[in-house]
Amino acid sequence: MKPVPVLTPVTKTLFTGTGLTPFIIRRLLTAVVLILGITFIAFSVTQLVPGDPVAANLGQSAYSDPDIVAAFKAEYGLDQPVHIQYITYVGNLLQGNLGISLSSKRPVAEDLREFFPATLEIALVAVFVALVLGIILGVISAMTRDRLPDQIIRVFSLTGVSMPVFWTALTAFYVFFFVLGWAPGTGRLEPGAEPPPQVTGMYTVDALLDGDLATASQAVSYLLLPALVLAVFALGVITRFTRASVLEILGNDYVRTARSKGLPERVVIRRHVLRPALLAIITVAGVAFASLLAGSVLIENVFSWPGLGQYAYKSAVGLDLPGIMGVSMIVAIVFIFMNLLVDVLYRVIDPQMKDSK
Amino acid sequence: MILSPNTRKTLKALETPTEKKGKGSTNSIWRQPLAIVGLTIVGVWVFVAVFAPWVAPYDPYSQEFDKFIPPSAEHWMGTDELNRDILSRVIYGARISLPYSILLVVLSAIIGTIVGGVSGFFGGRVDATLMRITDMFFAFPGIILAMAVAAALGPEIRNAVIAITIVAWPVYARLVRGLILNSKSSDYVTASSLLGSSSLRTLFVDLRPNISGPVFVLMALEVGTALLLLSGLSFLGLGATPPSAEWGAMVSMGAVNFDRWWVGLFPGLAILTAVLAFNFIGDTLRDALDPRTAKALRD
Amino acid sequence: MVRNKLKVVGIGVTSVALLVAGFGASPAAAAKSSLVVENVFQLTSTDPARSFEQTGNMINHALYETLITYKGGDASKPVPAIASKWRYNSNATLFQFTIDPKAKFSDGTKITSADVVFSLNRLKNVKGNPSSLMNGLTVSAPNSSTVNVVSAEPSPQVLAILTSPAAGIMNAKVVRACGGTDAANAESADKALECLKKKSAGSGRYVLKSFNLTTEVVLDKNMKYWGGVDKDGYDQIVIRNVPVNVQRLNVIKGASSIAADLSPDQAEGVGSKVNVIEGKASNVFFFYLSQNPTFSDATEFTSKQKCIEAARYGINYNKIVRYAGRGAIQAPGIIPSFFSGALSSKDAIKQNTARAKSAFDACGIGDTPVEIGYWGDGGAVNGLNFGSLAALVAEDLQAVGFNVSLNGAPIAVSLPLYRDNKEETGLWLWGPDWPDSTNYTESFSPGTKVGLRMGWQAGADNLIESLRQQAAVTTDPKKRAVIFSRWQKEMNKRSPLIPLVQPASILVANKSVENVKDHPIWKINLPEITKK
Repeated sequence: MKPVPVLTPVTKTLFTGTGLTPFIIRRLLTAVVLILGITFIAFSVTQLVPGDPVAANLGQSAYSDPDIVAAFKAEYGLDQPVHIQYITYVGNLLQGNLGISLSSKRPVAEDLREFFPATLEIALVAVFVALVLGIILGVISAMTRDRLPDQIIRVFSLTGVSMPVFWTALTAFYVFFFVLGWAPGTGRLEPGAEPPPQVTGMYTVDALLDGDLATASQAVSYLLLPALVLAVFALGVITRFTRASVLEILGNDYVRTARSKGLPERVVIRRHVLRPALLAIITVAGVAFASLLAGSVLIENVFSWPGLGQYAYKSAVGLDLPGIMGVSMIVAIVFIFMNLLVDVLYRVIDPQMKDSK
Repeated sequence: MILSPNTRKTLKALETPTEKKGKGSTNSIWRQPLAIVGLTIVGVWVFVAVFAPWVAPYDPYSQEFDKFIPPSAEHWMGTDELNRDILSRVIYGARISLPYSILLVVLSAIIGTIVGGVSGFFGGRVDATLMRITDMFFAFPGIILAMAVAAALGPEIRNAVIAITIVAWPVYARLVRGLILNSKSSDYVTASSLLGSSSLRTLFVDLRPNISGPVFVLMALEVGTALLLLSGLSFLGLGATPPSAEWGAMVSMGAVNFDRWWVGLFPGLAILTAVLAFNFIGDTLRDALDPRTAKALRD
Repeated sequence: MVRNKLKVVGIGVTSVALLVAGFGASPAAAAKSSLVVENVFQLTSTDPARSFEQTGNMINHALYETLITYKGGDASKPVPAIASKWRYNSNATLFQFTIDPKAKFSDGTKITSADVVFSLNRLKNVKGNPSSLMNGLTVSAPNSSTVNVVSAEPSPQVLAILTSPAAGIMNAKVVRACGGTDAANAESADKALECLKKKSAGSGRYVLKSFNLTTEVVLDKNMKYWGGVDKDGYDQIVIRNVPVNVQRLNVIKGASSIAADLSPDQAEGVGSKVNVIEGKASNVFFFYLSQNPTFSDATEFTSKQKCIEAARYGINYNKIVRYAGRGAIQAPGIIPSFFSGALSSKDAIKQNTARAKSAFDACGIGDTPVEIGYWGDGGAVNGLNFGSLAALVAEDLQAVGFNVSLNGAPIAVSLPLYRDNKEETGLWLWGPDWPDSTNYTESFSPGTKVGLRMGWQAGADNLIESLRQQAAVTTDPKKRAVIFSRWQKEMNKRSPLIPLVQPASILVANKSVENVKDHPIWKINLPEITKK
């Protein structure tokens, strides 16, 4: 068979070579395929819908008027056969057009631009807190294996991952806002306060960039409680994983060899335990971050935090297909990107380790 | 027997020097305190669920009492907004949450094992395609899909189970495939096929013992997650419907009535204790396995 | 190692600093007085011609004025607003309004009849949700200070219609500059929506400062208000989208001024720093049985009079009213208590289980399963949760003998089924499109909007339908009251409609806020609120 002309020796290595660049390119291509697959899944599932988004989004008088219904359907392309709708959607997607949300009547891209940074803000804080505390606790737990500190930490972290997050959020809100008055309440800022000029969409960052310290600290005070509740679950996961990774590595031969060589314990820990453990922990953090995005649904519901989780819930319940697809896409993209980042980091840090998938 | 480059690579990566077995795992699982606690709690809930009509003080659907009685001698957990006794509803809630979570896990395990089994056993393009599909489902934000499906099918606990199963099976597929790949290249399998055993025989006789253990451990670990997801969906109004006494739906009523704190607290504690118990058991089981499979379970 | 340690410590200190700053941050001192209203948003925009939902009405009532309006919590006696006087002919086909010569928009320009004609025609032609208000009406301007509204059929409800915030008068010049039009093709040609989200074009006591569909809408005082700026009025009104349970906490803590959606239950135990203002809601919850005999096995029976009777007399209305909490009453008929011809409690159906059971046996449905459709997933209005209501009704019907089960679903799934007459029985509510009883005769009679949703075709009941015709053309208030009352009594005898409960509408307001009244159409009388 004649080789395809476009694959000259140079471009061929770009795809099939073993270096870092070909690796990234291969993964990006896979990512594109994955994302298309996701749109297909989302689309198919929502087509099995017995409900009618038209009726849900038009008022009662408007719905009785066939002209208005027809106009609505035409505008959102709901009168086309299913496969045409899908092809149109993908075509638009490739041009960066995510469609118009049926409930907010705005472009989905605009909706996402508004809601995604809000979730990103609390997710970043949550992962940061969970990582710092989780690694510390996990190391302590591993080093004091089966003794009292370990047992206590293990029970705490297990409880953390066993708590129903919506219940934790409710209890935290009730105790810290209503009873103690430490937390300021729902929303991202005070009522009537003007949000800082939008750069990233994250109020803390934007306010700092604007030099507005008052708004920045106000934004921090409002996001602390939801972020900390979000962190509880991630903290449990990361603590447990750190403990397991450190234990596993501690049992390795080369650690024993290093010890028997007489190296100080501090060096042993840093060079032979922490560094390999960090690799594994980075993986977990990446996965935890992506799952936080999706898991924020329940927390945002309780705190009425106007983020991606709330948007996802409203779209799901309103059968707003463009909205559902938009959210799924963005979360999937973050997830895939995190995976890619982690794999690249792996290869950079430890070039001998190949992609074991 | 010629091993594929992929298999050879996987083997090499797994051939670490013999690791010291964890201190705890040489003891019998029954001696582990956490496991005992876990088993006891699960035992209590199962007992309560099975014998609910005898254990519950009142009928969980009866609306004869007063509204919002705080916890008292007659109503240990108080009453709710429709004048029903909460303790009875929490007890009967075990009859919904436990069986449906287990059902969910069993369904996901079956689907995932089949996909992973086929994928790992046949290898090649079948493997690649199935794994791509599995990756897609992994990347998909599960709760969003679950919400959409539950909303579309109508809120009902049965539909919530279907919705979550759709997003929960991939983790089993990946595990089973990994285990099969490991086993496929082990010596006794090679010996067995050299002796002329058919593929199916190999699959069932030689591979199954290696797979069922870890799969069951994963199932135990996942029951807690299933319970959390199910009650989460019910909390959002997309799972169990009134008047059924499901724990997540009860917590959401507690959310509507914040300062009648007992309405949401007790169902939430029920969920917490049940999930904790399953996690205790699952954890201990996993620690008891050999480190290699334990590692596979963790990833 | 030391460097790493320092890094960790550095990060730790910064985090702690932010934490302390965060929790310790005190709110910036407010230079202007701000009224914080918390509401669960039912909002699509602040374009009066396109919004017909509760939050939209509340906000538009503060931004835009109508020709005539109501004062305080009243919904029966119109008072002058933009029109200083008006008159109409005896068969209610011609209404003439004289515009107040002092009336001006928020930008200082005088209001003329051209603006009124523009606004009302735009309402009709944009074909948004409220456009049906203008059905059968035409508007014209004989001169710059007079407006004529002509109705093809006698329409005594025109005055009620024109008080709706959807009929708010807009500054034609500003709206046209925004891409707005009142032409016949306004449905596709009007592009003013985006612009109206950034600024308002009305004459009300407030102007729009900012609009966010999901979080909050901010209004600033109109310093050029033509009726004189009230120094006791608030400088700023913030309407926030907050779930009900949090509304309660916020108003108790003083973090908000008014909580708009609390149920009577939740309005209890709110402490002494707030007032509870009680009004009657204009929503009536009802239950119905499908009159479409071919839809399913169950509906073959639900369309029989005996089955309807079994349900009507089997429901425990007192239990439902108790659940609805204080201020709620059993709805004796579908028309709410403050409209013309509303029935009194002595006309209400009383539960009669013996009669219900014998009707059930005569009906013959046996254990054929019957489903109740309703808004599941936690939907609640005026504090009443549809799921809980449905559970109560189901319990009663089961006691009579029906094999009933619940079929609630999110609104996007359940509402279409109801509207398309695809339910076996349903539990829904009705809020008036305009504050007049004809909205009910026109919507619940056989062959009308809700009539058809119940499967009740035209010709199903001649007496009720003839009463509907009479109500449409009678203008004398006393005669109207008699007709509406009789229509409801006949409905209670034979229709598939079973009115359940009219809840209370509750506002909880901080004691520093005065003149707060609950209103059936715009919920809160924002423009009239003052501070102590």
